[in-house]
Amino acid sequence: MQGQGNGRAFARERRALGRAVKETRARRGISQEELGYRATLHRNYVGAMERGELNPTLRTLLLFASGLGVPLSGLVGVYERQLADDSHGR
Amino acid sequence: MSVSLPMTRTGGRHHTPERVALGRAVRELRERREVSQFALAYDSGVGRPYVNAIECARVNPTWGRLRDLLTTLEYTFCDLAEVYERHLKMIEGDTRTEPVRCPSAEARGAQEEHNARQLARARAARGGGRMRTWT
Repeated sequence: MQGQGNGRAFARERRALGRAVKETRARRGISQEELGYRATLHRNYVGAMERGELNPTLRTLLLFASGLGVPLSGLVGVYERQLADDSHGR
Repeated sequence: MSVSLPMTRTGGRHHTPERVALGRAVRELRERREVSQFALAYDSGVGRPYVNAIECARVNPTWGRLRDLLTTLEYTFCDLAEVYERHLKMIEGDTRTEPVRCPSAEARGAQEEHNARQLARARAARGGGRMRTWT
């Protein structure tokens, strides 16, 4: 569950995406296990996603979005903000 | 899962609304930049059939691949998501408002009546009785 795949060059983006998922999940106030249950994904997978170890497909991202109760654009917006924060912080 | 569904090699389904919307979104962004599929694939380090497959909703692309394509086209994921949501709404709107095309009950009833009348006419012309269609 820790496939690197094609996203090897985009570690920063992957971590930003993971942080976006984590932030949205924290805002909902649910645990990783609960998110996994809602998104029909395993909690290990959710954890790996939040750590930025995964290169998810569109289908998986839609599962995450539906589990968090946001449209895909919502998740993407948080991701872009995390990316901007990351680059400004460095 | 029946065999008649269009299935990919791994057993997923082609042409889900999300994939179609993503394909159309990628195509729209590509056409905005006036780039061909070949040029996009070459500059992104992606195979040319793969770009076509994304636009035709036959594959399930990963984040990294989409990132490659968007970097070449110089668009952000926000733009892609915005166009994607618009296309998804168009697609889902279509399936909700388009009526099912099948003959209405009255039309079918009229057709049946017509058939029955013609059969009666032919039978009367023959002089009644069953028509032998077997030997």
